[in-house]
Amino acid sequence: MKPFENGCSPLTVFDIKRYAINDGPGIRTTIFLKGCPLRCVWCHNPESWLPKPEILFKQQKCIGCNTCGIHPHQREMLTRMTNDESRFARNDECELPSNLESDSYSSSVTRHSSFVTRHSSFVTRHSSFDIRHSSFDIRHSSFDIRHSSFDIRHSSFKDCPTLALEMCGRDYTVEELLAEIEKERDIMIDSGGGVTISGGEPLFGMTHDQSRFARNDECALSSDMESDSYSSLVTRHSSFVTRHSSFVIRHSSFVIRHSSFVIRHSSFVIRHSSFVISYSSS
Amino acid sequence: MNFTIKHPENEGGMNERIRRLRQQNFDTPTTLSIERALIETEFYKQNYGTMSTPVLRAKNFYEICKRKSIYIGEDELIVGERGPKPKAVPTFPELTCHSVEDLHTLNSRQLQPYTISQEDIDTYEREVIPYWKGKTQRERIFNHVSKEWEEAYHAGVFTEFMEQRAAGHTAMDGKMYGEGLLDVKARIEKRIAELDYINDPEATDKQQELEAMAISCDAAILFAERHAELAEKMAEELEREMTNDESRFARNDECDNSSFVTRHSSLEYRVLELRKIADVCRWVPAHAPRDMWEAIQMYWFVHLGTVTELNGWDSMNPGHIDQHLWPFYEKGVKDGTLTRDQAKELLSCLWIKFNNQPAPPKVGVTALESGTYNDFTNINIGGVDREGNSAANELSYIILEIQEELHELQPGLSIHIAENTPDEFLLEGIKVIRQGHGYPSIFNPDTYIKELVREGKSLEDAREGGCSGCIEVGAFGKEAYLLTGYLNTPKILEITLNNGIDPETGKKLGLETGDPREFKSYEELYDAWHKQMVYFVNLKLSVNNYIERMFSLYAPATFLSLYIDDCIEKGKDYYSGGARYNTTYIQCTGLGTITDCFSTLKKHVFEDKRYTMDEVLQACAKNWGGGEAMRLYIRNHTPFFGNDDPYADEIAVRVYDDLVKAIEGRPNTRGGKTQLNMLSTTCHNYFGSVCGATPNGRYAHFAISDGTSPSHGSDTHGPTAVIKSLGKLDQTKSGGTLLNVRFTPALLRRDEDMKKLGYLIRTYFKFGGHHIQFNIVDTATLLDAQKHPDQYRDLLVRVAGYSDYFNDMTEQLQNEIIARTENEAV
Ligand code: SF4
Repeated sequence: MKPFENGCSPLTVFDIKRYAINDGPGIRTTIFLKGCPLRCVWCHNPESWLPKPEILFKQQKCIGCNTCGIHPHQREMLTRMTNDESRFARNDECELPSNLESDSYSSSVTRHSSFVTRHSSFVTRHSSFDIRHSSFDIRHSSFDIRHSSFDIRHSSFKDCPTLALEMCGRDYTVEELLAEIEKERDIMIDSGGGVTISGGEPLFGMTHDQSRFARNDECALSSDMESDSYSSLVTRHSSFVTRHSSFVIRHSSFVIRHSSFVIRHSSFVIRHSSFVISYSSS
Repeated sequence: MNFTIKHPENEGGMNERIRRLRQQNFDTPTTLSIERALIETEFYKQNYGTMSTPVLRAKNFYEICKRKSIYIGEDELIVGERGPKPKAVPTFPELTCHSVEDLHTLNSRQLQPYTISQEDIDTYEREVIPYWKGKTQRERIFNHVSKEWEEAYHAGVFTEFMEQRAAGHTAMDGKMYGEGLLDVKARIEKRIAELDYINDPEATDKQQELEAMAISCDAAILFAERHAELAEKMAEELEREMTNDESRFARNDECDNSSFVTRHSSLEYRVLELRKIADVCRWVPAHAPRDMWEAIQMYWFVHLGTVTELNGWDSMNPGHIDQHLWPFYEKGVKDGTLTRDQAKELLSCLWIKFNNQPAPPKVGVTALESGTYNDFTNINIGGVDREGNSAANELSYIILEIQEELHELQPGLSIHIAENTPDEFLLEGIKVIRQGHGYPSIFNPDTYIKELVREGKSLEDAREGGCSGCIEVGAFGKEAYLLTGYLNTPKILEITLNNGIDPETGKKLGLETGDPREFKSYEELYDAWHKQMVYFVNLKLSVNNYIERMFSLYAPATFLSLYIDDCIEKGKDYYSGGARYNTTYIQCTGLGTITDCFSTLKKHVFEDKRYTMDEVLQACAKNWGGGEAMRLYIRNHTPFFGNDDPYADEIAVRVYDDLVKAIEGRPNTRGGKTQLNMLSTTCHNYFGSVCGATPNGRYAHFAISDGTSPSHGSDTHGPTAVIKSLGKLDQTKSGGTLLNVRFTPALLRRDEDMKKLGYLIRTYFKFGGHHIQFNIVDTATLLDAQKHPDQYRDLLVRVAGYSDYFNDMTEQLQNEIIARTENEAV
């Protein structure tokens, strides 16, 4: 039985890293899912916040060739709207709480503040609603409207020679994702590694289509799983998710309102992950 | 005889002696010595034409051994130099005679200078240069080659290894440790007695060759004997000094009692050491060695013999030295005559010797193409024995320690990791890799044994094989494998895209395969390149065979032939098919670059039709001037080699397989065949410098890709994707592939990371990888080293099959290394 046959909506992945050696035991493939409920100021990958593909604009890569046909003024706006990794470059190295308070980052934070503020208000609004996902999604779509003016030009962003304009995130069907994982099978098995699902907030990204999971729940966790050559992955995978959720929970202590949300979701995901794995064997 | 000297300093680590020797080596400038050339020229003037070539060469070698200056340095235990002193390089005018201008350039150039006095230059001009005019190997070759060959050669379509140096890439098996030269000589004499002058039409030739080999035995024994005499003389002098000291002390001239005792006892040790050195040099190489010291000295005399009779290209090499020396080590430790530290000290002394041998200076295209200052010796450790068992032993670990402590240019080190090699050994190797000196490189015996067997070696001989210099493999002690030069595959594409014309020189070098603007399909383009490639391979091969004959006729290697089976049995020279196996390699360079070029043209011109062929060609002709957007589009939107992307990888496999087909299996002059090899040394820089902009977005004159590595910055999916791409090539079809991977130090910070790197290596080898090597250095460090060279005097960086001092490299090469994809921790 193929659990996803009924048409599971794809997962939005913003990056897949091979030879990931810092994401758990062995050599791993880390899949970064897009979407995160948090808007931390120190975020290293703000482009992972939105749970859907979006166009990123990296100004430092732009050579102004105009192949994209986007008016320079609009490109300018894009710069402000979207995220420039370099601005966050060193944030991940900081001890989170102390840096936040010690203000040593003030210049970077300030420079970015309009953006952050805008997003934070979104977060705030969002968090008050997030007991129900449906309302969250509504909220979410309004946020996306702001992006949509740029989406219109999707047709030409692909021509950007320098990847200054780049689609961040791609929807993968589960099959496609498994095919990616399969590429690294040898090295993962030899090294006792596996797959790590990261994000964004993987729990967030993975659950944004509840109905899909509802259907999946109905499929018994098949006995496939146990006879399966991938079973070692399953264990590692779920343990990682667990570990990862505890990490999220640590984060949540800073954003207290989020914690209940996250914890609830983590149980979801563990079920889901078994699915991904059991699927591979069927 | 079996006494060893217990020196108080002799305790663990790099001891004081080794520290001093290393420092001395580091501080000694490289000089050019004209001594060998003078002896040889005089000998040739008197004797040329009076005897057969092999005997002439052997007697010439004998003369050099008899007359050259002998050197024994303070602190040395293993003795002997190629020149009159450490780092003094002789010239070989019979092969290439340096002109006065060459000598001046070598003396005054900034990078890699060779110091020579004006007086010596004058002597050279007077005594050496006039005699050799028109008689050198180099002139013989250039006088013979066709105009087509010469133009292609000067345009950089291929290089020629043997136009100014003898063939090298020779490694030894273990026979020298069981048989002295007197035994070898007895064997030779027996062979001469067996010759059948009536039924064997070659008997006379064989007799001459065998006689020459016997003379070579005498030469090496004499050379060693002279060292024994010198050591004894030095010991006597020291003793006299000590007696004087004592009498002074008795007269109370010397009041400082303790300094007298220290000095006195250290002199006493040195006298003992010199006496031991004398004993050792009297025993080897005439007889088979009996202990570790003799075994190491035995090897060193053999090494010096081969690099004195001819200046073979890089890599005269002891082969599996950990296996060869093991019985001596085991016995010494068991009977209490040798400690681990003493073994380590003796080996360290040998290590210093390797680093005392800069390469004879090159001229012309070869000087441009080969930026190497030292001849390579690539020590092989680990791997398997003749029965296929894992061969890593305690000596392998000692050698790893030495390599880490000394971290000199030479010798290079490679660890050989078969499936049955213990993980512990691999991990110890990775610990040294982590130091960031660029070695050891890592080889996969399971693959190269298959390569060697595929080329026709017996399984046992293949197992005894390994790598001699960079990445090329051979059957140690049984094969003459000549590397003849590199082939510039992207340059051939450039010529194809210009319908046979080389845009750099403006000359028509290739075939007229049609205007690419007219090509209707990618297949037409590929076919055109294929035709050109076959044409240039044939052009090169036609001269290879001629050069091989020139060595056979004018420069046989009668000493080296003693150590390569079955030269004595066959009565034939190393260069005349005497070896059991005889291979001729052409080394193809730029697989990554050419794959990316094909991928670009296939995708953007023929499939997506985003650009026309004309647009791409014009952009290349203008070196992307005005076409930066196109260039960047290509760089960012093309499937490139090294990303586990089937689109590009299939092209690479096809190019590789076609290169194999074009090169493999042609008969050479020694009863063997030609084969493909995929090393590049520094040639990818030279080849890049003669190649205009290429369709893959590469700027004109920038390096092409090295070995089988992806081209610079093209591999963006991490090292596992790279090894998967490389794993798609059937590497057993070549005599070696080369994969360079650059890691930032952060990727190897924790011990756990080293294990992970171990898995990466093991997995690559499971995919059939031949070789992989790592540069553990970050871009910031390299950039800083460019700015502040004096702060980075000992920054060793992996280049290709070897490491070199970053400061000694040309800026071009430095930039090339910086441009290699850096894998960061994720
Ligand atoms: S196509 Fe890309 S590089 Fe060119 S102007 Fe648009 S964003 Fe900038």
